[in-house]
Amino acid sequence: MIKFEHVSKKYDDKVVLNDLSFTVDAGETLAIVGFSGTGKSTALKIISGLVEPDLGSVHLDSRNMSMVFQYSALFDSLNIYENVAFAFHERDDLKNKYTESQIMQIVSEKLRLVGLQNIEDLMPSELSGGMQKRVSFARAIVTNPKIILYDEPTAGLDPVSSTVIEDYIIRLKEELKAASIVVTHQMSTIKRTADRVIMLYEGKIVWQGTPAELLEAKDPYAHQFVYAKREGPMKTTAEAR
Amino acid sequence: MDKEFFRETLSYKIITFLKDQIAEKVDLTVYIFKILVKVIKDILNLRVGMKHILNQAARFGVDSLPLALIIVGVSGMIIALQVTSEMVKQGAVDYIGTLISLVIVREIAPIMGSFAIISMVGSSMAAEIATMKVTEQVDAISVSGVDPVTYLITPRVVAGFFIMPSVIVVATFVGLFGGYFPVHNIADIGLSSYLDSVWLGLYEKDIWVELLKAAVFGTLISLVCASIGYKARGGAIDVGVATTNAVVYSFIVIVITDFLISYAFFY
Repeated sequence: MIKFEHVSKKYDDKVVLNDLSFTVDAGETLAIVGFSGTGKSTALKIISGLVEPDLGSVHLDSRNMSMVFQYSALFDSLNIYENVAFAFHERDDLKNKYTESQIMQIVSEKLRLVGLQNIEDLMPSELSGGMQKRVSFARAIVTNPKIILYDEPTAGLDPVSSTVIEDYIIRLKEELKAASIVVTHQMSTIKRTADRVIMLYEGKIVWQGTPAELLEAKDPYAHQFVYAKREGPMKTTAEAR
Repeated sequence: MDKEFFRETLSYKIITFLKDQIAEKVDLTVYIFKILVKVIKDILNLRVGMKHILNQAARFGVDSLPLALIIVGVSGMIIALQVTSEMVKQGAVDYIGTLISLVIVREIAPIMGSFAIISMVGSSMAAEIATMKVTEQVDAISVSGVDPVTYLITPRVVAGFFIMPSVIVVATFVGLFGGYFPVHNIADIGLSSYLDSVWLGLYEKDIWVELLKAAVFGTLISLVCASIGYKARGGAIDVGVATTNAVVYSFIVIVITDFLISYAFFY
């Protein structure tokens, strides 16, 4: 479970998160949506411990967490096997827990789960963007995490690759029963993967509900987002300047 | 009026620039010092893997050796060229090798070797880690439950400490032999006489201080370059800026440290 309580964060003078609170239960997927620069990725970074909040707190029921990054963030000096097995080789509590042959078995099983086989010896630069994204999924789930954070998992992918990635998010939710957060702009990803949606604007929740409610919502914020209208209560970062 | 205004504006700009530069360097030094404390903790807690140290040591040695040998070798030749004719004029032929060995062992090999290593290894270290930082690879290490400083910086610092003395010792031999050729051509001194003169001027202390300098410089180059790379944020431009800063800051740190060590041991 993830409990995000009254969190505020400022970068210089810009308020990115403003007394933001939400909860994600085990087995639930929350989509955080909103225009660019509204604090979605900052919320993920605070949950993952990469950024400290100025105010408020985050409670997690497990430290076994992983994150799928927008641009995959594979380690480009390591091959695919070393990338996926990274936590087993480097994390103090996992280093001596498994033999190398067990790790090899786990890695190939996770790669198979994301539809990849016999690519262990390749380097990340030898893979397409979609394949890199799938490897990053395999790396994220290799330790069977209890919390999974997805930062724009389908950004920059073609529609078919996006559907494949969404299928993995759904499958992982069922298999791992993890508490998941998906930060995305894609309506199809929201519709297919999320149980609940919160919409952020200027660091605050301006709308929340289910994906079905989002599509039907008359609320001006939700309406503007769903129909991608320039006119409405929300200004993009460029317009706000 | 315009001139006065310009002067005021210019002086204001210069003062502001200097203040910013000093504040930036102080911040950076504090940041590097914090990383050093973390590295020392990792070493004391044996949290650094031998495999990573050996990988980094291999890269450090292999990448830096050719350039270090060329620079120190040619520097030896230049010094010999400059001092030999003067020494011949002064009738101090027997001391040519002594003077050359003193300069090369005490200063040229550690300093010029360090500059070569900063250019080859330090810059690539800073660029690699900065790229990892701006492409979220460092964040991915953190989220995996692995400390990025322990994984990225500590092995590089330990490798720098252990491998740099070997690079500098080899470079010293090349520098001394490089110095022989001008000496032979200008003063017509044979190899055995030259070597006798070289050994005559060397004290055990010179060797130990050279090794100490090499180990300290190796540690500092890795620490400074890796830390500045690790501090990078932004995009491609920031990787370039971090790399340049790492090289410049390393040069300054090495020169100051060299002065302090030389002062402590030779004066």
